[in-house]
Amino acid sequence: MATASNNVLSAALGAPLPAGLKSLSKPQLEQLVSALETAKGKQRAALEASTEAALSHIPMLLRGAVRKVLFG
Amino acid sequence: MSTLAAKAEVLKLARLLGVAESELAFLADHNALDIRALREQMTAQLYDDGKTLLLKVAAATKLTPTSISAVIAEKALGPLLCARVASLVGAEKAIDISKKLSPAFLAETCLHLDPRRTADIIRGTPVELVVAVSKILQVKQEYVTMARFVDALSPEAIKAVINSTPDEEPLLRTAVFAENPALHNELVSYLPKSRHKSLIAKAAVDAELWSAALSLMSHLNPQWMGELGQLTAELDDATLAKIVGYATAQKLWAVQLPVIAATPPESQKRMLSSVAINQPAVLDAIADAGKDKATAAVLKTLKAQMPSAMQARFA
Repeated sequence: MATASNNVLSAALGAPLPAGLKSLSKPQLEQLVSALETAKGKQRAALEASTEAALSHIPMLLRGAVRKVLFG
Repeated sequence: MSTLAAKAEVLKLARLLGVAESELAFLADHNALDIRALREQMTAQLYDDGKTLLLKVAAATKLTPTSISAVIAEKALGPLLCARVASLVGAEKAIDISKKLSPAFLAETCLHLDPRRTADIIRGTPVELVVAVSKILQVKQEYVTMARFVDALSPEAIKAVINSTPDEEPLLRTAVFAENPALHNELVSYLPKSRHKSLIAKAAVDAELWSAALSLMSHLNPQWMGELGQLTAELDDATLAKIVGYATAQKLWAVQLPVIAATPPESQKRMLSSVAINQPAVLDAIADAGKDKATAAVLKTLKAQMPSAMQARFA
């Protein structure tokens, strides 16, 4: 059973775990943290790749303005 | 019954994290509400992560003509990012874009969308588009996804989906996963009476469906519980025997007995006098359920309609 001090999931979420999940083992908590971090990483990579790809679909006239909004 | 709800929550969490359901199987033994709370915490994390860039994409979308935004959505962003950006674009623009997207793409987007953050968009989506998307989700057997939207859809949209779904099975499988059980009364009321009968008949042929039907009935008010319970009592002996078998094998008597108790006395008598229910193994299962105080109280209310042997057993 994980204790408050080693609850990696609670730390990753920045909030206490739901009461009923406090009995999760350390490996189970670590598995959930890993899945969350992987999902975040995938989402970030997809977002970065797709914003560049999105520009190719924007008419030339608008492309500059949109690029400015996206990339400053 | 809680196992079914917990499994549904594990599936939703697995979908959110993009992992196989089996990887999170260890959570299925926990309370569904705790798993849901964890999913909500993780949803907030994923929505917050990359929010700066998501906000920029949303701002760029506002500058771009709707038809071009729709092309970008399908060809560049994809369903996951569209789901994340949707709530940041503004409901009006998002609805305009959604009208130009293919129902197949919208169905994929629904798998990742958080209905609580996009309720305005969902409510404003044309009913015919909702129906088209629901048909695709049904083909994919995405009942858990459909259930997530029940809370957010307008009654008109829900009625249209029900009317466009001739088979009761997808409705039952969706209703059982609805996150707000208080809506079950409304969902049942949207079905015409003839379909209540088909719903019970359909559920009675399969153990899993019967478990879903009982889960649905357990959240109904006494009037609807009684009506569906009465339709159950009107089934033929062979079908009643199947239901008794499901309730015994799946330990569902704590849920089945209140449904019987909600019916008129003659229906109670019909159910309690059936040959199937008076088998020793079934009576043992009912007695086992009766160890719970609430179930024991239900058994007491049914006593007057029990055959004498059963009365003696539960004296």
